[in-house]
Amino acid sequence: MGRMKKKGESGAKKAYITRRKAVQKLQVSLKDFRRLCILKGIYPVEPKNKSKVGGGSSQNKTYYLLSDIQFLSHEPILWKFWEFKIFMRKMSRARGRNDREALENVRSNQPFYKLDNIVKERYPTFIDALRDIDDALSMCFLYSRFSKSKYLHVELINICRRLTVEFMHYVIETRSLRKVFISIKGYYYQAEIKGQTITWVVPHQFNLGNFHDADYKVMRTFTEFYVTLLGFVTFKLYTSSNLYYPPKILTIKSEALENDEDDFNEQISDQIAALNQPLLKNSIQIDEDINPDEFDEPDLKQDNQLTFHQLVKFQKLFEGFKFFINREVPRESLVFVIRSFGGLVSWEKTLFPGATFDENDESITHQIVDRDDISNKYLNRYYIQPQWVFDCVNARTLLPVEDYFIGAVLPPHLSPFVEDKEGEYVPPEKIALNEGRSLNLAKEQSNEENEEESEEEESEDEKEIPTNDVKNNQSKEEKEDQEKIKMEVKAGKALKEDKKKIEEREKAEEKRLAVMMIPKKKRRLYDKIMFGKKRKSREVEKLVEKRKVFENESKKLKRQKTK
Amino acid sequence: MAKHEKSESESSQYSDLSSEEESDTSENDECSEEEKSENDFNTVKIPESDDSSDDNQSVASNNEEDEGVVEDYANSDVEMEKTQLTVRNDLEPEKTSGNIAKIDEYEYDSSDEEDLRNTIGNIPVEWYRDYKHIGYDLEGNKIVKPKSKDEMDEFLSKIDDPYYWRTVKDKLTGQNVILTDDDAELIKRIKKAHYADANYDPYPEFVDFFTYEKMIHPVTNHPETKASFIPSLGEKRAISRLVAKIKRKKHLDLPEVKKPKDDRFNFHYDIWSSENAPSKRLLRYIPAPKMKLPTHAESYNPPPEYLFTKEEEEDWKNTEPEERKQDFMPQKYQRLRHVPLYPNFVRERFERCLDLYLCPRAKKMRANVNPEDLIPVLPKPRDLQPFPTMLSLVYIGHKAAVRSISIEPKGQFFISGSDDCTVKVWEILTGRCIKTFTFENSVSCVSWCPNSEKNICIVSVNKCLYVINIGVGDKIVTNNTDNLFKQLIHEDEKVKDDSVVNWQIISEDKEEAKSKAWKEGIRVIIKHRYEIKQLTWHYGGDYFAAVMPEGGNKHSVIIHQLSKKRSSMPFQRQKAPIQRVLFHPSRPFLFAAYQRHVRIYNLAKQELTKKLMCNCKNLSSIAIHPKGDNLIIGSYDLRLSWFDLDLSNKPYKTLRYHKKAIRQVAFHPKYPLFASASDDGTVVVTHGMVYDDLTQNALIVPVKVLRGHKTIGAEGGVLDCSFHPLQPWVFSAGADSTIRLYA
Repeated sequence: MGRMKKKGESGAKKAYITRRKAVQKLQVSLKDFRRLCILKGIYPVEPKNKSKVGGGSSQNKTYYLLSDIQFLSHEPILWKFWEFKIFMRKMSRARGRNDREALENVRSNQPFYKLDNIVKERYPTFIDALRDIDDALSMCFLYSRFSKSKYLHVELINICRRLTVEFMHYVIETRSLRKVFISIKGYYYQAEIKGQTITWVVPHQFNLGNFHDADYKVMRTFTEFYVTLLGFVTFKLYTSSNLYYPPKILTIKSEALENDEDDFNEQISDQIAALNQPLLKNSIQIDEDINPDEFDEPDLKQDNQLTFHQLVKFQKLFEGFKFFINREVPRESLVFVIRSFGGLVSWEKTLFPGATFDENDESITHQIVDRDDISNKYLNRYYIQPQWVFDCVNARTLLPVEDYFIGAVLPPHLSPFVEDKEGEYVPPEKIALNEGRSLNLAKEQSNEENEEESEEEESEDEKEIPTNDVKNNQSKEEKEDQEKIKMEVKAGKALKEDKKKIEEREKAEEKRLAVMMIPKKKRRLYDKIMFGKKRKSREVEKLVEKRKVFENESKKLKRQKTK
Repeated sequence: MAKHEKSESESSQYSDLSSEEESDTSENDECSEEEKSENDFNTVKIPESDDSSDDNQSVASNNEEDEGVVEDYANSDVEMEKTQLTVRNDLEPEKTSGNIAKIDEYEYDSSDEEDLRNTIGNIPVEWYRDYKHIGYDLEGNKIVKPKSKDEMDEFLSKIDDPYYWRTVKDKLTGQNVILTDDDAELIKRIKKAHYADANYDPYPEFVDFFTYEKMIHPVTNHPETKASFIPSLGEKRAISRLVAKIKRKKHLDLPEVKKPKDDRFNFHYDIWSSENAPSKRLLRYIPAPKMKLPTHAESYNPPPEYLFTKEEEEDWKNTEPEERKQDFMPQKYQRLRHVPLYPNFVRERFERCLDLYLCPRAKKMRANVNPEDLIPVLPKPRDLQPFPTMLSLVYIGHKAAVRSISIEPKGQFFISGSDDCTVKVWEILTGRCIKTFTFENSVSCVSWCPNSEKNICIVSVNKCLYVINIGVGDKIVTNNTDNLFKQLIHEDEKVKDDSVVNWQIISEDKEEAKSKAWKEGIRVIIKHRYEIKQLTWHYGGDYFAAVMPEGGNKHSVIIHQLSKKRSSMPFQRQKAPIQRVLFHPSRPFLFAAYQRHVRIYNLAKQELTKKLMCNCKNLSSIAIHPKGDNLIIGSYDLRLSWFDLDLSNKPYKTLRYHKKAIRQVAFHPKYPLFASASDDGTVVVTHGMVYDDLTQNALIVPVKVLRGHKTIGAEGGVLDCSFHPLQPWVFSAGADSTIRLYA
């Protein structure tokens, strides 16, 4: 006979560990534990049976896998944390003694950790890293907008800025941008890189200032990791598509700046940040991958994905166009979008370095303006609002410019990320777009009105005819009635039964009866599904209703105006 | 001792310095102001600076003497100055012209004051060129310019005046000043780059103050400080620092060259160049779900239907941020440049961070179930016909809820008992009410005798049970029935009043009141002690049972035998009140339904054969399949349970299709149908096929939901239902005082 098993010595109880125990085991502070978890990507897990793990108590605790914690205990970075602790102690001692030299000495030996190994460990292949880069990108874009403060170090902010610019350059070079969206939260971009769909969000162009509703330390730790990840990804991307890293652009060293190396470097970095010049390529061709996305898995393409030719056409959407951006328009996002689709862009020279042509250039085809009107206009170019660019990209074609003219009431800006599923609400604009016609509310209303009027007329006509008939009939009948007031038997009308309807009704009833017989086990699931469906349909109905109300109101307004 | 030595050396240095200063300052007779002021403040320096006429001895003596002497010395200094002045001016030249200053300038030239003969201050004198005066004196009177000589006079004075060469013009006062011999001498000396003071000895004899010879007295009389005995900590540190530097072999003077820091963010190499096999840990890695992608509502210019109405906005604002469906309020902006910064952007990103490292992850299998697959595949109701499908007749006449109905075994009539204290007899096909019996209380139950040879009904009104000869249909049967009752009267007259039940047989020819009852058809009245809830016949038509749940453990069920006027109480001791009883259609079994279970008693053997567990809390009705092997039970807690008596004492199937309490269940005597009436106003007809083959389970398919009855508050919806004995028709009695026939 084997030994008796004791309770709590094997199984789930041993597989999980609470956070408190984990911190104790690792001999770090909670702060360090948090940092370690962030860097190593260790997350709490939900045990299948909490009461078994908790030894019968149902207290809500955070559990980690014991193996994860054991894995953490072998992490070299842990030593760095301890070193840092000692460093802080040394610093405070030197400071307390007012020993400046010692302070200097200690400070110069400040320990720091590198996260290269962790990146490699968490993402063993490049594709893994690409798959998980959404958050990293969003975070870096956000961090690059912060202003320096006590807790937000310039070093990290600058590197975020650099990396984001480099990433955008790569997207421009490879023309891998697919979708863009202006939301009230910021700009959403979606690119397809190496077959991976990458989405990120960039806040609107404002200085974010200091934030008080978030813990900067957590954000910083995340950013440290993300920066490392993004850095290596960018390097790999650049080298794999034959670009220099760090990016190089064609620059002419002006004489004035020849001597001043720093100024020159600054100027170059500004030029690069302007996103307005193509990057230099390595002269040595590496035939590693020319267009890996296109040829990798042509069979797996879904319906909404583009064929190769469509893609090439899409990537050259703005090719041959010259855009000029007015100064009230957010420069960076527009330059990024336009250049990703092959357009040429410029802006006022005083606004930002890197402008390539002036406003008075006759070859400009589009000028992007975000005002109600502008005084000096050139005849040979379109003055459009920035939404046109974004809508064109989402529609994958050049939309008619008329709806987006300066001062025009814009058609709604729709999210390209919404996929129309069955039973979900699709705004009429989107339906129109899918069908290939433009639907501008303001315009359409006027059209509609005309149509409506005609329709009304028609309908009136239509109405008139039957009403006349009815009236005629009625009058005839009345006459007849008047003629024969005596007892009579009216001819009964045969009740026509629509066979289809009956069939449908029967089927519905059959279904209802069958539903009654769903066993209890499946009943709840069925009810849940049906509940969700109903709720969804209710929401759709609500939206449809609101749309109707809005349309009626706008019609009324129009009518009042015309009157 | 080191310190002591140091102080000595310092003082010696000091003395050297002071001597140097002496030499410097003595060159200038008129000392600069700064120096003068310095002299005033620093009394020790006095002998060294201005008054260089004193010899070195005085300096030495001054050093030797204590500070107490200093004041006297200062006084003597002033005196000496005065004596000097007098000496200087004794060689004053004759004043040849009025232009020469009459006032001795040195009189005003004290060591610490400016020349105050003219108060214009430190401005160019040229500014007064065009005025008659040259400035203001101390009283504020104008100082008139002295007459300037013309060129001729100048020339003449050049020849005449022997002092011309030493006449200098004072710019401030505009007067000429004739330099004295001393002045001239001074200038000469300066020109020659000699010391200004002729008496100054630049190389005095060196007095070795701190001699190598041992003196009897110490130089100072201070007691030595304690610190001088303790080795200095600061020095020690300094030395140790130096030693450390030497040990590190660094040049002592050069600043330390910092080694270039290893860059934290150096990404200039490919970490994915060598592909390692992914660790096992990563195999069970659960990636975090991606951020939700934005919908149309999030657009800066959304379609108008996505914008909130006022109520929605209010609603959104009033809900807690965690409970909101959308974390933002849709907003429309006319222009892109109007879009403000989204205030929660940082917070949202931060929350995402929190989710990434704090949120427990678990793999959850999302059941992607097609709801159609959950619906069981059943034979189509159309194939299971016949069954009642639609409402065909409504029997209107009762004025209150109809509690109970019962159908004549031949299927021509039925009776109904209602809360309006009447029992009505209806003809089924015509829908006409043939007879009405009125009682003094509401009728709780009616039941028609299953034996078609007898035309008997039993009706329970409160505590009384009436046996009625209905008197409809075949007259022969009616007469036969009457004869039966007459026999009863003849048989015996003994009636026990004290027993639980009281039989009262009504004869035709007695008192008027009774004869009236006879005419109505009432043949027997059985009085009970408790209120009767249910009546049920034995299939033979001779026995019937009355159920009185209030009767407690002994009197809750009483079985009456009509032919022998006998009543018996089958249960002596009951633990719970019996709700319903039922006779087995072919065997001597009695089903006693309690609130939660059903007991089956064998009446012949007088024992309990089975106990069925119903899975319900409050049983309401019971019905048995005509073949006797299956049983259905309806309960107030919405369940209808089908029991297969051969199979188990637990329900073979529990159906929960009613939304409210089930009031009555009934089996069709011929067709494989059963029905359940519920408070939700529906009667559900279900196909319940029982096969002879024991291995095959019963097939239960609901075939029709019959609606029509209105639900009336507390009264309920459908209170009773019953099948027609021959046709696939079902009758239902509702709380809305109607009886409906579905065919």
